[in-house]
Amino acid sequence: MERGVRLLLYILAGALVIGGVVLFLHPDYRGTVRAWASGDITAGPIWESNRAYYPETGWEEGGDEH
Amino acid sequence: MNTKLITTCYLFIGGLILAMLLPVEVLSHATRYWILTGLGVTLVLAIWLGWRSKGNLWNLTLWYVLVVLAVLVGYTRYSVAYRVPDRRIGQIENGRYIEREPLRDTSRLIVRVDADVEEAVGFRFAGELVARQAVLDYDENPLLDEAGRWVFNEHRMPIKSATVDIPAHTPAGATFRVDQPFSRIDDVLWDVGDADLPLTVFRLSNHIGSFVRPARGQSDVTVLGRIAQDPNVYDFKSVLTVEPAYIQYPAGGPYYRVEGGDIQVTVHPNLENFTRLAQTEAYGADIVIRGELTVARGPSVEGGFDARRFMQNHNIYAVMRPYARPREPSPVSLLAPTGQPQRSGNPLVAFSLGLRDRMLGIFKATMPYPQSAFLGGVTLGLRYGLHGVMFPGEGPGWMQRFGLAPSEAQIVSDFRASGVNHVLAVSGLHVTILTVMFVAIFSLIKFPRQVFVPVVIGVLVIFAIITGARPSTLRAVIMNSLFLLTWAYLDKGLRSSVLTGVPIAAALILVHNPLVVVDPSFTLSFGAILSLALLTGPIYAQLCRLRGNCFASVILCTVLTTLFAAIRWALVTTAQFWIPWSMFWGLVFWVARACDRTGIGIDSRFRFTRIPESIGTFMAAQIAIQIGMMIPLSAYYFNQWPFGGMYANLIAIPLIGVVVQLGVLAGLLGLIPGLGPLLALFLNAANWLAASLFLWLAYVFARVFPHPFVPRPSGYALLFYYGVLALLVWPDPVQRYGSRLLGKLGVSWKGPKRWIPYGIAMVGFLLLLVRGGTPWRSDSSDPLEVTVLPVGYGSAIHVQSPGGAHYLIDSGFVEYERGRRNEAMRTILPTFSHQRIGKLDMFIASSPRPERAGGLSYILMHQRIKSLILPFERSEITSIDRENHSHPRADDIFSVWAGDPQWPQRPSVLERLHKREGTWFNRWASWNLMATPVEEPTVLVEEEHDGGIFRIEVVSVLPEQGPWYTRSMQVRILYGAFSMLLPGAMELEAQRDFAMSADPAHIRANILVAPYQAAAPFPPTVQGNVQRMRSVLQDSTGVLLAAVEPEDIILEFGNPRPVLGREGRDALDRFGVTRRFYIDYGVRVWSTDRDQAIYITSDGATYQIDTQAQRNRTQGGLDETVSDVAIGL
Repeated sequence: MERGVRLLLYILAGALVIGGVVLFLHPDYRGTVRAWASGDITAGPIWESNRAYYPETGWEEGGDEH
Repeated sequence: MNTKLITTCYLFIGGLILAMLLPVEVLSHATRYWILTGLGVTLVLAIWLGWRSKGNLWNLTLWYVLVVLAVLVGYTRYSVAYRVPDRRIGQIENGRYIEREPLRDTSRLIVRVDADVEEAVGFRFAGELVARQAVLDYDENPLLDEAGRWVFNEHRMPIKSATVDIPAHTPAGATFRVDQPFSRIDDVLWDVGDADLPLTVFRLSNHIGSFVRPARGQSDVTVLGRIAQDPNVYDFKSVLTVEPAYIQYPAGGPYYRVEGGDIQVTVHPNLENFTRLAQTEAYGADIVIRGELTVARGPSVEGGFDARRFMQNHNIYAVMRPYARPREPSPVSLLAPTGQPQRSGNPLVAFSLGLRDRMLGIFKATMPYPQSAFLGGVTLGLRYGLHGVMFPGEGPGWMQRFGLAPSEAQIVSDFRASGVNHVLAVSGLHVTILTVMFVAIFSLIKFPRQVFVPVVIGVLVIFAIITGARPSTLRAVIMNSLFLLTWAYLDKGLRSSVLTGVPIAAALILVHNPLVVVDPSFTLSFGAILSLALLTGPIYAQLCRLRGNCFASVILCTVLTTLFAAIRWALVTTAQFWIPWSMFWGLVFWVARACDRTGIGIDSRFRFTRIPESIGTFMAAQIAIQIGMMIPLSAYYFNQWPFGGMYANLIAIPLIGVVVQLGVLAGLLGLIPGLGPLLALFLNAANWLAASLFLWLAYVFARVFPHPFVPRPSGYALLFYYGVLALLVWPDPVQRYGSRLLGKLGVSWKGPKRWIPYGIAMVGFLLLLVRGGTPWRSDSSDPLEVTVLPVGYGSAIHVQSPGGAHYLIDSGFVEYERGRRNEAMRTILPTFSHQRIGKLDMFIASSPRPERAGGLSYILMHQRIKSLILPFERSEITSIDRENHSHPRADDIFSVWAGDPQWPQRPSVLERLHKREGTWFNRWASWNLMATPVEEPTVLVEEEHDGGIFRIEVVSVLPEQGPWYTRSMQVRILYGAFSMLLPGAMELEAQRDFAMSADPAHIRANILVAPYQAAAPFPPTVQGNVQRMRSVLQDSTGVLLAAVEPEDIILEFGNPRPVLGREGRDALDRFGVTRRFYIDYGVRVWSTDRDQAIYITSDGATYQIDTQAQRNRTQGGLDETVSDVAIGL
């Protein structure tokens, strides 16, 4: 089972790199980064696309509801 | 010890299955006698066996007793869970009541007659009732005290029951129910007859199932209880599971304490407090609900989905759909104990669900929709959130650049068709991924396994709670926990842990709820893990033998067979394909083997073992899952087999590993204030790619590979199949015992290695293949069987001739929007699959209207048909003048037959007919089909049998001169003296003209299927005026009835909205008036909306009508009357 350690590390490292590329290229992610930078996570296009999906579930961070 | 534990678990499960196959009546004492008899017989057997053996007598006896006790515990556990036993509380002897035990709480009674009744008897019970009445708060809601207990006032009052009338000649054992509630019985008052009649009195359990009423329009009840699970939230409703504590039954009556069973409550957004009911915080809250207490419907047709049984397997025995009424308080209220906040449920569960909601919030912020819905489904078990979610390639988008047209593909149906739907049912795969991930994380930070294993098990428990604790998840969590414990503390390997863990996990789940033993989530989960554990090894061993020419031949054979199956599935279901194909490949393998021996051809270094072991084992595991679980159990439960699943999962399973791990890490890291959400955004940005790839994979595989209907195996066929598979799993003992047996019989042939098990297995598979197809039938003395299928507002009638030929008249409707109801896929084809009907001898399209021909393109897609009869020339379809037509439904009709240019992926009849033209390939597959127009009276089928001549004839095609889309065929079915008339889609005026112009001898029939779904349109001037509508009916339908002189009338009706849209409301009104008109005619009237499927059988002289609703009642379902409510348990 310990073999999974190396695999997990590879996945994580790969995910962070690929994630960075997607953030750079995908317009919705770019918009979301801009919204986060302005301090309102729920103003981004990704949150907007999810508005009708479980609408009762909101965004919480560290117990503070925004 | 290990063997004893495993055996005990399996025997316990065996006892459960025995109880299913051989149930006993719980009202009687038979169970007790059976148990005692079983114990006695087994003790004798155990002692005898112990004496016969040379072992320790005492140990052996103990061992056998253990075995039998395990079976008995399983048997009784299932019996008691399946039917709640009613308690015997006393007897009536010599006219007096003798109490055996006092009544518990407010109770209803059942009286059993203990001797045959000669003369009619009538008596009443007299006693006392302590009636509870709820104390109300200022808002008129029942009050809870500070400790969360419901507060009642109690009123003591004397009470007498209504007279219990026992008719003369009632046999011993008959039961009668007393509906008046009692808290104590004092005496019996005799009104009529012999007071010496011995009677036993039972207390009817206050299980919630005993209060339900199947029929709509019952008086309301009030239920006080708590929400037992987090709500299942859809985009248009929220479904709550409520554990009832008290029920006021009936309205205004006393409150009963409920003694078991949950209620499923569906609430819609029009309720004022819907938002609170659709939140996780609702879990554990106290609730009061007012409304009808009813029960889910049983199957609508033989072999159909039994929603009632499915719910009962999960302890849900009643359903409520409360709706808001004008000027009345909300029927659902969440309450809190006096002076306290609203209660929540179990703290661990509440914590887990809260965690889930916060992770969902992170998903919503970091992954676009619908990939976020997919991620929520596979990591958090929120699969209801995926219902109705469209594939992201819909409309103009990147998919179109690859030539894929706009589609209406739904993610869930694509998953089902491509065989990757299992990723939505959180199971062993997900739990194992998480186990590996958390073990890896802890190993990374150098924690000793003895320390972190309990933490990982805790995480798995929380995960199980988050995802709804379904049987498949529980199985996986128990097994993974056992594995982790044995790995950490006993240093055991995986295989021994699996073989021990499977029966223990199964037994633990079944002890808690034995009814899930037949639930798909239970059997599929255990089928998968057992297939992996038992079949992967032997399959991998066989694959490892492949090398050189043989290996290349296997690859080529697999590729070509897959290609044939993908291009024309029908071909690979025929003997004319498999006989030459298997002979050809037999020859190829023989030559390949000979070449391998002589070193000719491909080098022997080209072998399966050169594939890395992990990938090779993974491939073997996929084959094992297909053989052990997917093929037999998909066919059994779903009537369909996703052929591409084996290939799709080779990519899907590693991919889902990435999606789940990244999703869970992103969800957990996102909880860390500060940097956490940013890390989650990076991880889920990468995960978006993986999730999109997964959705795309399902989309492509659903279109490239078939998802065919397959014959549904019987339970015995499944047992036989698994028996044959067992021979392949354990061949050596079979070979050893078989050789020994043959030696005793004087046969000393030394065949190839393991020839006995492999030989028997081959014969067994051949038998299954032959027997698994169309059932053997028939001789000429079999009856004619006609089934009017319940396809809602539409028509589909299946006819099985006395000679065993199958005919289908019409194919129901298909709804592409809103509910997406497809009656061909939902009702007709599953029925054929259940009855193992491989081929239709004829399909008759009586009318081109959507409610009759909407499903034809799907029937043409999936069903082998010998001939197709249409009421017009096929060439006429292209000649419709769409600009100048006057027919209100012409556009809909044209879409069904020629396709909708807006939605080119929707199948049309013409397109499907084009694909079934007489090419050599189609002829080889027996898939070619010619449409034959019939435009005048014709005999379509004629056969001679013992009961007389069987015939299907076209009486007329009307209107004779009208365009093709207005035409309707009138069909009559005859067998001997029996006849049935199907006038098709005739409007009111046409009914009168038809009746007056036709030869009476040609239209007279025992049974009339009402034309136009009994909702033919009226002239606009009379619509809404019942008297004038009846007058119009008298001049049209009345004339038809007078000419046909039917003894029975069948109405094919259901919700018209999927077909007619907003006009459906008018159709409902028309149906109401027309139905009443038929009833007033004075013959028996049957209706598919109430009676479900209607079955007609005739031997040529007489005929009988049976309905699915009736069958559901007699098979332990519910009756519409009060007296049979107890059966609801």
